[in-house]
Amino acid sequence: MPNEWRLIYNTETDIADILAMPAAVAEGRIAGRYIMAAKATPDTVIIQKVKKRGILAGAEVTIDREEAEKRGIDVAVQPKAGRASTRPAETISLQEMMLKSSDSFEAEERSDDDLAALIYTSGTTGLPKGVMLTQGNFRNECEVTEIAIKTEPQDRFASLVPFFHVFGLADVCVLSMYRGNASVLIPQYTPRKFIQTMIDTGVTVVLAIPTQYLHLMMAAKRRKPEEIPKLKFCISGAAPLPLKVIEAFKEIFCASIIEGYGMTESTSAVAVNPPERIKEGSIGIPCPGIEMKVVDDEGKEVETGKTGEIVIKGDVVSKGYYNLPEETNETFKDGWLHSGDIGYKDEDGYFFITDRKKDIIIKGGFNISPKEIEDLLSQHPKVREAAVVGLKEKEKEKKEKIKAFIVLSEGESATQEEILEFCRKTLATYKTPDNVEFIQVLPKSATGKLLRKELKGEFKDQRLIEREES
Amino acid sequence: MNLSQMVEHWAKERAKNTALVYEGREISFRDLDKSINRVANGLKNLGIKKDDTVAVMLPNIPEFVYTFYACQKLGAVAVPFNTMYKGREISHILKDSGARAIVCLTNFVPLINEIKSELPELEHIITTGERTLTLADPDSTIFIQFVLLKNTFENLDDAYRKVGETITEGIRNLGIKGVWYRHRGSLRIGGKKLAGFYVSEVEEIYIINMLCFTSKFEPTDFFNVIWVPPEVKDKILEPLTSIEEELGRKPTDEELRNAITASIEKSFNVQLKQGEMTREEKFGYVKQRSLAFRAVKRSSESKKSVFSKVKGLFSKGKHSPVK
Repeated sequence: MPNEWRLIYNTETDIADILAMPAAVAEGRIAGRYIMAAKATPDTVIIQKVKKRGILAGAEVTIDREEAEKRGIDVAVQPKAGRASTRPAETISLQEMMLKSSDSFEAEERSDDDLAALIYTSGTTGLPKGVMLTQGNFRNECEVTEIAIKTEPQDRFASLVPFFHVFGLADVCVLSMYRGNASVLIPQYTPRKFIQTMIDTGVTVVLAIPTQYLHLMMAAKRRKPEEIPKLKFCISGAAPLPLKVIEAFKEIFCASIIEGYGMTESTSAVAVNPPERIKEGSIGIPCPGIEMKVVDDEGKEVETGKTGEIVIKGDVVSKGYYNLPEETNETFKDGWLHSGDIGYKDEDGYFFITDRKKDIIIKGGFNISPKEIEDLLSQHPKVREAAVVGLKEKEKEKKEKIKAFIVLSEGESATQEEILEFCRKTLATYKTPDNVEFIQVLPKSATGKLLRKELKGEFKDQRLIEREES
Repeated sequence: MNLSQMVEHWAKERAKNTALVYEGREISFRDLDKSINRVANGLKNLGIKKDDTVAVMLPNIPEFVYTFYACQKLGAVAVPFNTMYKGREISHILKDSGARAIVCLTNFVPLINEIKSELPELEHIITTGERTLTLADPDSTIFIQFVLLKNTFENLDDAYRKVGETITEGIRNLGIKGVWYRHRGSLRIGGKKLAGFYVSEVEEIYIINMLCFTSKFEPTDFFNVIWVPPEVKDKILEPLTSIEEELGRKPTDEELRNAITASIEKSFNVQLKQGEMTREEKFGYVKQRSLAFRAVKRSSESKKSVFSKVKGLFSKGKHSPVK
């Protein structure tokens, strides 16, 4: 004889019922245990359909109630989680864990060589590699940046770059704590909101990427000049800024944007373009304690003005990639970090980048591996071959778009949307190609090596619609 | 001064100075140090020790700073990674780093659950933040919920598998053969999501909540009413499909109900009998409803000003500061 379960079936409910019904049944069942009425509340299946659109939101979701009413959407909020409330099975609430734990802790001894963090970054070989950064790397980065950021105790930092990115982590999350300065946290960035936050909190040191500085300038134009907060230091990374942007920014915010150059493997910045003598288009000169030079394929330093690969040495350089000895040996040779950036040094010691040795695409300060996307695309049943390149819309633009070139299997047809959707399923949105072009054959060398440069050339004149919003 | 000592140093030297500012709240170095210590002790109690790796999948919120420095004090290695990452990427990082614990937003739990079977070393999922979101639409969603004793199942994995397979079977019986159950929490066709569910617990009870798409679901309008960070929104907007799209016609309520109940009865060897809530349950129900709506008033009023500031984000184009 099968057990009897109860079915509560209702196609006329609303969003609050989606929460309240199972919660009430569970509560009744728990209470039943104490009043010996467990039998009265059997196992239950509830099937519900709402009669009006609704949103059931966590307590921290920002809701516009007026707009909801206008659009005929009900809004219910999940009561803030407490000790007795339901939560995802077999997970731990950080807040509860903190409440139950003591607030004093004896820190473990750590030496300079001990690992502090693994930061994953995309290279040429597909899946992200874990860059090992030590206690010593982070501390040295704090010392290295002293040349560019000279703070007083009352200065306040803000990073528009996430802390999971080396730039935000090393140069704000760690640097502000090293110096004993406050750090203003910006989890969700919009230019106008950020200007208001600067006013409200007294931010004086800002870290951002070039596009964000451009956005801030646009947003500032909508305010009266006397309302614009005065900044002391602004640091930019990822790509060089035109000099006229730096000058225009200084006029509005009173601070020069200092351009830094660095990468995850060097715990962020190793060179800065000194604000008092900026050279446009340069990545600047090495910070104190950092050595940089340009080398040929044999690792020999080339003459001033001659092009080669930029290599870096210093205590900020990582000890390598986690669990990847081969890749480590390729990139870190005799203490020199091979940046993969091709460039030259001028007679004043300024470094310039002209090309990239590796096929990495850089978008919004993040490295993207074309190989990773290509490997995924080739798993699509209709795709025979794929090649992915980073392209600039305009010659001068620094931001890259991702374009996928696809050769379909014989007799197949596919749409761009179909391919993009396939990517969106498994890739972070910023890695998903911006557009797709179907071609008959991929350009390859006699040895079968993909000629990405050819693909790039063909694309140059195309204009794309801006899909990405900051 | 290394990373494990920095905050402690300033907690002594500049105890009352502000260390973090977050949504109008100022956190002093002393309080920050205490919070870091609490997280460090919490992780230690979970068995995390020197040189273990701890993944951190958080935006720039105080909990990121607590966790990062707690790891440093413990001598553990923090593995912060991009909150935009999805299944394959997260799985690679957790596997490669051998993370024993992950600290993430509550929203990301279903994502981690789906890949958990590939991650034998991941023991603890620690969550923070209350930004979960459930969207309901009369024409395109149906909710299937279970309130069962935990001992109905062998363990949590069994609960996920059994519920997933049961409903998969029910949908197959409607005539959709391509549907398959993905580990812990989603029913898919091809790579598109047809239904998602998660198991919550309270005392000895599991509450299992499944949302299934019956017709094409249009989420756009909902995002004019709420604002969630891009990484959260991005994960809601994964490729979806629905019973109607797969079947080529809209199923009737009757049909759906019969298919679902029949597969539940078969797979759990039970008889489902239509019933109502008991009187006691109705008291609880009224209380739960009022809590859900009362929370709305409070939160919408206090957050309205924030909302108007960030609202420009929705309307790409004419309100956009960049053009």
